[in-house]
Amino acid sequence: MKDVIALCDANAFYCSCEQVFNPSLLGKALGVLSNNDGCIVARTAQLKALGVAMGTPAFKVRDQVARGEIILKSSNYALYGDMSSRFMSVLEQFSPKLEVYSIDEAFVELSGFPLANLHAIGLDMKRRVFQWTGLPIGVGISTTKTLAKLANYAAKKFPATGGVVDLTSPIRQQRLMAITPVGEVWGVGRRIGKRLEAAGIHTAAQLANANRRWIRKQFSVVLERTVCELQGEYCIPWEEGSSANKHQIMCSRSFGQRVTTRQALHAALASFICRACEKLRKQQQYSREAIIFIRTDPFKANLPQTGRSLKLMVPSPTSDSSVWLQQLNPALDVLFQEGYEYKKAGFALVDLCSGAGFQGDLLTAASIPENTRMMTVLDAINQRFGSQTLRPASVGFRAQPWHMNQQVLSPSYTTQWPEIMKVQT
Amino acid sequence: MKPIQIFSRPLPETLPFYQSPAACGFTSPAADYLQDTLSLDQLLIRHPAATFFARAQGQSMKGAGIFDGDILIIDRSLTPGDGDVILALLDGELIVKRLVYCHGKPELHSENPDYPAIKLDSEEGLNVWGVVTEVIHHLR
Repeated sequence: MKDVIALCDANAFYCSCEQVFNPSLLGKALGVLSNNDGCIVARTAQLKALGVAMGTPAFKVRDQVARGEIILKSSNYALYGDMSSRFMSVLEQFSPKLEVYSIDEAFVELSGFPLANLHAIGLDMKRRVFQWTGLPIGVGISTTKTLAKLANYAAKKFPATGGVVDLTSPIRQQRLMAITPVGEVWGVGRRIGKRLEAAGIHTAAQLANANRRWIRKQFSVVLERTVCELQGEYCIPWEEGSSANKHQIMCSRSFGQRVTTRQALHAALASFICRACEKLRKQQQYSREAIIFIRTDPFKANLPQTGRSLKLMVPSPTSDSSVWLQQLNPALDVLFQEGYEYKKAGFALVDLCSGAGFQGDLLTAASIPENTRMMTVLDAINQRFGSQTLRPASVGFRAQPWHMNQQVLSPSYTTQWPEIMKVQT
Repeated sequence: MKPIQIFSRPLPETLPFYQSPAACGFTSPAADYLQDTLSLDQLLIRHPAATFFARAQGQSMKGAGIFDGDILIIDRSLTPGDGDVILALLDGELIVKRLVYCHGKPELHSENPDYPAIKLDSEEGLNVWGVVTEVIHHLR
């Protein structure tokens, strides 16, 4: 029996999330900005039609925004994360085997369904995801991951497909690959794409027919695998489960303004520690090891540059924010230097463990989480009354210079009670 | 070396809290009968992935028991039918009304005599965001 895989991804995911809760944005030239409102990272079809490229800095479209021709939103990751998990759980209704590939796309195994039904199943996925979540998606179905990606590309590229392409038939595979530029193939980046073009390989079909040994010698075994997959041979392994539980939790930010004082850095890092531990508790894990770093802005070459990091260890695995907050001052004694303008700092919990497999410490009395109940109460209060309602004093009281610029942030419609949608009766 | 197993499963979100220390004495006669505590989520939310909350504003749905400031539970997975209270998209705005079919054509009715019904030309003119399944009304 042949493997069958669907690649489902949301169209302009961040923009679509905004539009679900604010329908007045439907049909508009809408863009979502990166952290600190830097540049455009998601665009609706209408914004693309205006010729605004991915990565365009916000200030370049300032005039069109002022005239109301373009609408920009700050990125709202609380909202996008929640909508992503809803999207994934609808896909799980179709198959027990799901690989969450990124926030807005997943591979879904459909092996075992009759081939003749695959297109209908794809349409059903698209329809159900839209009904349940309001998100428009595209579906590409084929026999390898690379071909499923290609099918999904076609579903987006050609509106006549209705957003669903079944590419299990070898004849259709050949036809599509003949008209697909090699740069659009999954795993072929821009750099490799250029080298392939130079070697006379312009289309996906030409790559599929290339000599495997030559590809391995000239490029890499990774690209050889891509060639095999284009030929219908399943070789990119399935990553079990979803990537929801990560092996490390990183919380870092570029600051809205540059930071020069130890006090401001302390407040910033304290808030990153709280955020990271909150995430850790949410996935019911513990950690005894963390990395903390601070650095200046490498793009300001005329200013003195520094970047330092430090590994922190605590006696036993914990998810208690206060344990890490106690480490912060000693860490800054090592890391902080006067006379620099800091641009970015971060805190990462590494080597995460669940309750199972946890090894107690011989020398400290209480091993697992003394402060669990206090942290549970803290999380519950912040969930109910708004994020950061209750926080350690070290995080600070006023708006801090290191806060992100989020001038046009939408409410956290699905994760904070005070911010749920308001609707007229 | 194999790590020592201390917990065999992840800690549940709410734990029954034992008031007495476990060291000695009789075990509670109720211990065998411990059940999960009641969950409002379980009662009110049938399709978590499709369920959203909104706060109602305005007086037009009083008759349906929806008052200004109430929290609505909206299930997008349900297919709206005649008589359902729905969240509809009208002219780029989300409004809460009762869906009523009159001679086969959809109408959006208020539950307050001061507000007239909104008649739609056809099924295509009806854009349903979700079906309102529950209302949470605070008494104090």
